[in-house]
Amino acid sequence: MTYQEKRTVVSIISTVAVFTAYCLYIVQKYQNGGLNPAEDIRFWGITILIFIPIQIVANIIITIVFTIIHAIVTREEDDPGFTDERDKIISLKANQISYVIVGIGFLLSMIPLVMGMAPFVMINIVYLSFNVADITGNVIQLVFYQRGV
Amino acid sequence: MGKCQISNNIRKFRFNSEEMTQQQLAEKVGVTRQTIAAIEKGKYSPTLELAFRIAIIFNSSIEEIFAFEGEES
Repeated sequence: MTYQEKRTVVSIISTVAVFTAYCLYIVQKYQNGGLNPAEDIRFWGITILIFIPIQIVANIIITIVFTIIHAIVTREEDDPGFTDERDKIISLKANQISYVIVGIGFLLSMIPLVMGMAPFVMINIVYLSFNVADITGNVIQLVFYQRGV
Repeated sequence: MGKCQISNNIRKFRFNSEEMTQQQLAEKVGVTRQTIAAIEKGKYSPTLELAFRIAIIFNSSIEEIFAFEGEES
């Protein structure tokens, strides 16, 4: 497995970890009775505004830690330190698919509104679609790195 | 995605250039070692610019290093 492939796997793990933390936080909040999801739109806005920077920071920290550990374990500088034309093509193709998933997620999020469901369902579908798009984009990158592009 | 339709002799040219490593070639043409490895394995078709850069390094023409193996129309 090349450095780029390992980095992509780490990115997937990071996204899954933060999204799991989000889900646990919501479930815990709900079980403690401190949540009225049908009404408290403000709560959802604050929660997502907090978790998006957490996700970005967590990704940066985990990537830095991975780079350090990788350098210590492999004892070689496999990190090229830059992205070349192949990396850019793979990234572009993965991003295209991610955008499609976000678009589909946004359209799907309209369904609960049409059906008269609580707005928090729509908000969570949008947030879920961002995470699914991120994970799928990384998986696609991994496939392109392994099978070729 | 799929099988790359461009074959190449980069490995042979590297061997004939005092056994140049993938890393050395990568540094000379400005890409990562993984990209050179992917090209040699037929997992990536380089851009025309990169193909020219590689050809210049080996003092050869592109046709000597790369060959198109796709279906002819």
